[in-house]
Amino acid sequence: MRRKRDAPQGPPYFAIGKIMNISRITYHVSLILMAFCLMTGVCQEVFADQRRMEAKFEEPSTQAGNPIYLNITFFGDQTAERPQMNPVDGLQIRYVGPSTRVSIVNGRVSQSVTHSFLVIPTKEGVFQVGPFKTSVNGEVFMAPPVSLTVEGGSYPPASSGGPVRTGSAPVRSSAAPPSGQSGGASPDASQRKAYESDRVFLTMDVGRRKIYVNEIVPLTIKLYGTGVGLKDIEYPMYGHDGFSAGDFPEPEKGRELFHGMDYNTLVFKQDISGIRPGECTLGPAKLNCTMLVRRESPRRNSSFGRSIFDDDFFGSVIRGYQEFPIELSTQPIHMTILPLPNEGKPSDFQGAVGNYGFDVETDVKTVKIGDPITVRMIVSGDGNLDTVTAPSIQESEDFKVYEPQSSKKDNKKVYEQVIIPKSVNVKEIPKVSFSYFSPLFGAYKTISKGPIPISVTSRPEGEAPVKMVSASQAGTGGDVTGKVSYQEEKLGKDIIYMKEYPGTFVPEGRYLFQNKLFWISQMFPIGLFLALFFFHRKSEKIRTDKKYARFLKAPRKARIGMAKAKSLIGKKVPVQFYDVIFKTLQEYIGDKFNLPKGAVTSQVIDEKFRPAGYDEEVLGDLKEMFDACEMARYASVIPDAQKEEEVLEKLKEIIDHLEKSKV
Amino acid sequence: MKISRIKYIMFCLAALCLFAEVSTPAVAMDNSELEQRFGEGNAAYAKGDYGKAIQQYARIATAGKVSGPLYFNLGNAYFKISSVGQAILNYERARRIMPRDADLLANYNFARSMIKGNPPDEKGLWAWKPLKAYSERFTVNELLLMASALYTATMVLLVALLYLPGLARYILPIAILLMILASADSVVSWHAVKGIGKNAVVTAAQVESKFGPFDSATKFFTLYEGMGVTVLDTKDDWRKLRRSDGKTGWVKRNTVEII
Repeated sequence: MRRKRDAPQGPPYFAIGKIMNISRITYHVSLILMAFCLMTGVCQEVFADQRRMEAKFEEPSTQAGNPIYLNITFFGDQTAERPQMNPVDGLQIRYVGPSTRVSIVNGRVSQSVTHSFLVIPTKEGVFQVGPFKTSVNGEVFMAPPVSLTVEGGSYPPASSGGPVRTGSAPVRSSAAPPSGQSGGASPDASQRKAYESDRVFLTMDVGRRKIYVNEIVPLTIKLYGTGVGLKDIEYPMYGHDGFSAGDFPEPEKGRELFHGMDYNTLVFKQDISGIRPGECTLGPAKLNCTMLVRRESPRRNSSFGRSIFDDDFFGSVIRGYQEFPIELSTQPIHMTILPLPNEGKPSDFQGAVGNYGFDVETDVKTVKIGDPITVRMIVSGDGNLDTVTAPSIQESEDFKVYEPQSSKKDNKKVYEQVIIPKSVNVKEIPKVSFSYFSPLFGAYKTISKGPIPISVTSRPEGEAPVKMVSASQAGTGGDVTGKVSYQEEKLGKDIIYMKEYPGTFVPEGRYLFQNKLFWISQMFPIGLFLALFFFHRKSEKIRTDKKYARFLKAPRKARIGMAKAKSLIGKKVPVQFYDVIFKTLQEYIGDKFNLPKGAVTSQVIDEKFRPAGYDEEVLGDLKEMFDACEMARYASVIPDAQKEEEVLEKLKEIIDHLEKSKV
Repeated sequence: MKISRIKYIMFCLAALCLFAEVSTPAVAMDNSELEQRFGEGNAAYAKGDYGKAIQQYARIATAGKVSGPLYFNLGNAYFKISSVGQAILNYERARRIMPRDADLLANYNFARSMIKGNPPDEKGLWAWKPLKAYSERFTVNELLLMASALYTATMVLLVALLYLPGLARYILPIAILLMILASADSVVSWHAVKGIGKNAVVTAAQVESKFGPFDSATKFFTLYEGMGVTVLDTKDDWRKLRRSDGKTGWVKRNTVEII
């Protein structure tokens, strides 16, 4: 028995199979066939399509300088090529790129491709763009022209005395659109076009229209911009035949209110000077830069309402900035360059024009012969310093001179010249003059400095003069010619300043050697030494020579004895008196002849004194003295003060005589 | 009257002291007046009125009182009026009072560098640099005092030698050394003293020295302002002098000035 096949399981459409009682294989094959028919256009009546081209401006009107999109849409095919159109004077047209679209409306599917163009009107008016032509699979399609009204925003008018602007100059830009590039890429810079607009413009101005030859005048070129972005701004260039001009320094940024509009400015300043008399023209000045314009996506209409191209992701890809290289220019300026007058021209005038000051300095005022003096001549002020040449001191019999060296800084030019005085008779550096033409006064001026007094002294023999070094030895290059002196640092020389305090005043011409007290005092040391020397010698002799010691002491001891005897006179002690006399005499003679005291008797007189040659009278007195003393000592004697005095006196005479006899 | 020997010696010394000439000259100005005049001179110098400064300083000097700074400032003032000879002359006078002053030496050497011509080199014993430097470093009085001190020290050592014979080997060499130094210093002092009243400076710009003290005498050598010379003799209006190299000649009296 055959079973009923189970109904196929699976998705809902499997219900059909269940109802129709068909197999799974049959179901799948049927599904594929249906899809194929849809895909291959079998149901051509579903895709109702009419191929055509339409051109339309984003807006029917705009203002001059405001970019606007022109969209040319080809319906029915997405392979339509970029439409061709003729250029329009007054419009700058740039191809942006294509975009495709598919839509389904009431079951009807339609496809299209849109080619977008960015149009920038350069002047007001009503413009016709088109007709437009394209081809699809070899078949040509046309679209009628479209109209654009440009209104408002007149060009900046030309004003007298003010900056020269491109007011009435014709538009220089070409009507041909830029070369096509897909994807919205920027055109090549070589396709830069002249641009005129009240949003971005260039001006040129000169301080005066009539100047003298070599007179400096300021030139100002100013770039104005508002509401647009500018990049890659190049330095301006301008024709300046008949003028001398250097490079532009870094421009200055600023803001300026011009004709009621606020502009950002970029100012280029430069000094120029006329180099030959006559009528000359400055400019026109031209400046190249790149203008940035904001790009917007083309509007899309979708039967589904909001287009997928309005989605943020897609919008940001299409939205952004487009770069347009442009060239801005100004009107030329006619100048009159006046020649310098011949009337009143000084003989030493060398072409300097301006308003100057002049000064001369020297590094030293006193030098030795052969040493250099550096003279600094300073020209300062407003004017064309390039036309200033060195006022110099000429070679003469007084000075040897070298080429001056110049240096320039800001508004000052310094000339340093080395001169060497040739003789000690040179008293001054001669006067130096500088002549220039003053445009302010319209006349020549001469400033003289000097003469400068100097002192030249002779050089001591053996002292070398300052060494002179040539420029090549000094390692300087450039246009230095001649020799240049390089000397070691020259320190100033002068006497030291006076003393503030007088010090201690002393009598004039008074010296120590004139003072006798000084010489007297000099005798003390030697005197002291001699005295001590002899004293010491005597002391030593006394210490070592007893005979000498006794000899020296004898007179003193005799004096002591006699004094003692004298004290006994009148005291009625004759024995003691004569005893003292005897002992005194005995000790004296014993000390004198180096005899023991006990050995001194009256026989000593015969033995010692008589052979010594003493006076007989003295010897007799001496003997009598001895006898008298012996008599008195051993016999009784009546006290007799007078007799005793006579004896004492006799003793003194004897001793004095013996002393004087130099025993 | 018999008196002892010692008493006799003392009496002689006292008598000598009584006759010793110790006197000071009469001072025309007191110290305060001198200082005031010195200040006035300085004020004139500071203003650049060197002539007036010289006047003020010179008045102090003629009053018989001098000082090193006075001569220094006087020399400076003369230098400022380009009178090199007078400047050097006054610097030399200042050196006799303050020979070691650095400012003075600097100015003196600077002024001497201005001497024209070619000052001849000194000859003789006193040209020997160490001796010359020693001699110029001290004043005359300082040299004499040093000699005196050395000589006194020598005597003291000799006395010590008498009473301390055991230390003779130490004392004797020192004593000998001191004696030599004293002798040397005495010689230097003698040389310095000898120059007083003899050393001079040429004050004229240029002087022709002649063989004889008369105008028609043959010229021998030339002296320039600021050069140092030694005056040997004076006769009438002429001075006989000796140059540093030993050459002698006659010049007019007013062309040189004694230091």
